[in-house]
Amino acid sequence: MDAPVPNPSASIAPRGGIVARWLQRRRARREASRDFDSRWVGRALLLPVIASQFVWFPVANAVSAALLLATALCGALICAYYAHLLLARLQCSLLEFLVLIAGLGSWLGMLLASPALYALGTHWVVILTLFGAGWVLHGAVLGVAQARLLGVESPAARACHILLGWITSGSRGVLLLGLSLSLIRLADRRSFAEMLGQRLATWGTALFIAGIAGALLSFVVNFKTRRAAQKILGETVPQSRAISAAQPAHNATFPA
Amino acid sequence: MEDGSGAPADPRVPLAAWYLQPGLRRMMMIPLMEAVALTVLLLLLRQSGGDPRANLAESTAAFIAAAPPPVAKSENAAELYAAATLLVRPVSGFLITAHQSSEEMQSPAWLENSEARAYYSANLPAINALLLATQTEKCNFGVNYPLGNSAPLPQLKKLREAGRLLALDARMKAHAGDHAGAASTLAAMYALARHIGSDRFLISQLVQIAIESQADSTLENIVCCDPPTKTAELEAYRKQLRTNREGTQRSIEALQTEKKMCLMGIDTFATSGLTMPMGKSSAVVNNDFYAALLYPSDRACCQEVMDEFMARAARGETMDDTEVDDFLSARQIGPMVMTRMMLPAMGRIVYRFQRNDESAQLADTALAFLLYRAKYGRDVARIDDLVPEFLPKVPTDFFHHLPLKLASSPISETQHGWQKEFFGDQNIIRIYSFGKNGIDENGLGNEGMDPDDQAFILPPLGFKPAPPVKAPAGSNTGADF
Repeated sequence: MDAPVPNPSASIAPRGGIVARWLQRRRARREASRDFDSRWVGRALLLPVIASQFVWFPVANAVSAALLLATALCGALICAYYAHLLLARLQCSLLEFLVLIAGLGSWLGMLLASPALYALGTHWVVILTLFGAGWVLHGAVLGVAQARLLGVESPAARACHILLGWITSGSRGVLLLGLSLSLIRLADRRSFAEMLGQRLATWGTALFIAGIAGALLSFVVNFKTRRAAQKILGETVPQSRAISAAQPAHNATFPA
Repeated sequence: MEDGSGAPADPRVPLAAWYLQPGLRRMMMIPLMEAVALTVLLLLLRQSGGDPRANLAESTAAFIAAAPPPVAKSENAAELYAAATLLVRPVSGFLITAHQSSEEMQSPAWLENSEARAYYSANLPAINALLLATQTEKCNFGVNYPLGNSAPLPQLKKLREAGRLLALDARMKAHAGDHAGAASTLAAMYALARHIGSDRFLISQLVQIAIESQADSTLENIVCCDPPTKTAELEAYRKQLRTNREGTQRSIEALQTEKKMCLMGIDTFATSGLTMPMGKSSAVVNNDFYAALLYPSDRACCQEVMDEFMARAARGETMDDTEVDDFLSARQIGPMVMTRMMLPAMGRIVYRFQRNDESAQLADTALAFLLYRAKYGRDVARIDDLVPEFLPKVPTDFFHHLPLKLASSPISETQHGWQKEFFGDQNIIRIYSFGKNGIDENGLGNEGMDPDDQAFILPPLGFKPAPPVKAPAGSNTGADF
């Protein structure tokens, strides 16, 4: 990351209609991130990710076992992808590494200390551990990337960004759980409260609110980071699109 | 290094491009999101219910221990019942409806129906075989207890049918004037009920109660339609009446067995691929989730709730459905899916047993009333007048320990259809208890409803029913029994 990298998109002056411009920009971004991203992981993930979505359905045991294996592979690939980005590409600092270790230890510690996990069986212990580690690494990569793109220098602020990365990336899962619990509750309040218990029903609302708050936070941080990234790439930000259209030469330059 | 414009390139360019081009990273978010949701759920339900497999071995052993002791084939009434039920001739057409409708079957007009009499005659061999089977002391239907709540109980439907046949036999005998024979058949019905109850399954206990209630109801019909007038006949009925039904003890035993069966069911579901209504579940996935997320609290709640049900049954306390809901909610420590599905009916069990006990008590009091009538040629005004000559003390109901009451009024419009036709506007005698609500509703009501008084109806003094008809050839008599 320390060596300056040429910006392929800088030499491309967008021409044509909206679609053509979008395609050009996309191509330029891919070109620019070629040495940063590990595309092969993405491609290798395609099948396991799809397979992991069928693991919830009741199927024959042999098929189910194969799906579980694919899901575990998916978790391992996600871990490898984000660990590679964090340690090799982003080359995180010692502080960021310590925050990562603390987050990983806390999350997996909580997970592995839950008696219910072991009742799920070894296959689910492995899957949830891998995906738990994957989520922690993903949140850390997101936080470090956002901090760097936003130009955050203070160590405390960078650590906070990692925390923010976990919150924003975890908010979708929390929202999913909260929404599921709340929807069941709204659809069949009596049976839900009776079967799952009032405590879980209350948690459904709390998780839904927390998920919404996390999603809003994620939107705000992501919006700011995207604008910063676009500035770095010298792309036109949406607000100045009209101005930039009148000054096409501006797109082709990097900020000083 | 410089970019095309000659300005030094920002080292963050690849990162910015990577950030703005999520591509397949969006796809990775889907399983990550699901894993976070599942992990949060696991953390919310941090609990342990022990090892379901070890629990299953324990609960299966406990349930198998509830099986009745083995009986030698030569001494087993179940063998005779199996042979007797093979002799039952199926009914068809009109008779299916009439036979299955207790209301129609209770009507005296039904006994005169030619098809009903043909049906009775055709089934006399089966009735005789059933009477013989009921004389056998021991019974073991050989139920496959290790199967738990999946154990087939085919005998129950057949023996319920057998109970109806015996009720018909008692009615026919009484209609023909053979009250001793009718009393013996009623005794056979009580014996049949006892045999069915040898299996401690709750459903077996409920069928036992149903047959005992049917015997009581048959006695009431006999007393109304073909009233025994001689002291000896009344004494015969009273002697055969099974008054000491130990409802409380039986309800506790039934609940104990049900608890074992419920725990076994929960353990089985948590450990194996149980076939569910939505299709065969995968032993690898779905039951693991039940075992991890729902099983511990479900099992703990089931145990606690059943123990409390038994404690309440021992105190003679009953619960209606609303009370059971509140009761379950108060003891809910987490998800309790199976418990919610299996246990709500348990609250009514004690009530059903107590109602059955009360039915026997009312029948006994009614026979004491008729004995007084037979001896003195008049009716008592209060039940107290039957003490001590015909009753050792004034009987009290099981719910509120209030003394039974006597009332004389016409049959109500809404109840007892055939009795309304039979007695017209004459005042009939009701010996009744106040039911669970404890309110004197003049002997009107039905089980589980409001009003809920439980009554035994007796014909008014001097009531003359239609003269008896001759019983069909081959019919049993009291001497045969």
